[in-house]
Amino acid sequence: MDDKIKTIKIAEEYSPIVKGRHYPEDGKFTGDRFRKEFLEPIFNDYDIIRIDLDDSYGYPSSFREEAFGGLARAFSIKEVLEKLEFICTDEPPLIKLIEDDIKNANK
Amino acid sequence: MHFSLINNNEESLKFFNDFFDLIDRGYYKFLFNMREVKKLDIEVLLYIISLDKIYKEKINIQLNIKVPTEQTLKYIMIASGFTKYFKSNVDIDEIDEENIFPICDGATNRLNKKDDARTCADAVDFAKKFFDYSERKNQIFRLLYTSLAELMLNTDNHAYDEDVEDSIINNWYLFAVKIGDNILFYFFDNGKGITKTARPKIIDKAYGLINLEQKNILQSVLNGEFRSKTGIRHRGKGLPQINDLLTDNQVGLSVILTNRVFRYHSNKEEYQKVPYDFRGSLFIWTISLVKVEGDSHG
Repeated sequence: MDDKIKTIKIAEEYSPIVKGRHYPEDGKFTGDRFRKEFLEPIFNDYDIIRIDLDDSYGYPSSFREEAFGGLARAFSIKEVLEKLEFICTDEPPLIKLIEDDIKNANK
Repeated sequence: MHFSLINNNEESLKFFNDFFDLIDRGYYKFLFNMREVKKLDIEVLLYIISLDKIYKEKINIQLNIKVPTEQTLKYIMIASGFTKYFKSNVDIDEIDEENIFPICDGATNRLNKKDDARTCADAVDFAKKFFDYSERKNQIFRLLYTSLAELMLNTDNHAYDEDVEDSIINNWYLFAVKIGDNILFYFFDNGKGITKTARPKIIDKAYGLINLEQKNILQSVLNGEFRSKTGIRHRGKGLPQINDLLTDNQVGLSVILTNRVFRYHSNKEEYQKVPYDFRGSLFIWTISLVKVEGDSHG
């Protein structure tokens, strides 16, 4: 049976200018808001969630950690690493940084 | 006098520390007479704006300024956006928006309901326009965006006493200007300073010392060796990310001034003690418009 796949392009579906951990004190487009609105509600509905990181201004560490590290704290590091895939032609090393954020979510 | 926190920090910091002493002794009406100032650097203007906002709000200090007689300095004060903080009727036609990203600050953003992330993006767009289209995907711009975002967040999260809620007092200031083949960025936050907000317990644990030199504290925080004041386990990556920008090949030189330590970086880093306390954290860096040898970002 084919995997059930969902693709989310952050710059188009959320915002190209993300910043900070917590909404609203850190900004409008924060990591926790992205996680709660885009990732957590569908996490169990798909086999693969593909995150397209291109066409954004950049991903500050606070946003990354809260969105993806936070997802690993809400579910598990193993599940998140298995389910999330990343596309980033603009800044390929970013994928490794996000994977580290997930792996280090409880450190 | 060369009024500069970087190039003449002894005399300039003494001036501000004398000002703080006079406030502590009950004085409340001040005249900053800058008529004889012959050279003036932008970071001093950011510092003066922040002092004016803090003291006006906190203890009703009256701060008046006599501008320098030197025409170039008068122009700098208007063109940088400094004067608009003190006068409402400044002719904005005099501001050279092509080459200047005028002084902006977090409190004004909050007042105007502008997301700080928008300001980060505006600053990146300001820098990008000096580069050829083919270079606009350069990683330096992503690093610039993420660093500005983290600097602003550090201001909100770490720079202040927990009981201070006033959004005017808690503030960052940003300014940028293109000069020759470089774009200069100035970022100042008026908090306690980096070495005072690094977690003392973590420092003690890491080094077994109570009175570490400020140089070592700053160096360790920038390298991500211990956490900042939030103390939450998975945090503390903001300043190392900022340091990635400040030490990037495309950044010709950068300085950090915070509390009693000054770091200069140009190919290699140098730390100096400063003779007087500096209240807050100042970051200045240049982005070179000239392609850098061995640059891997393109």
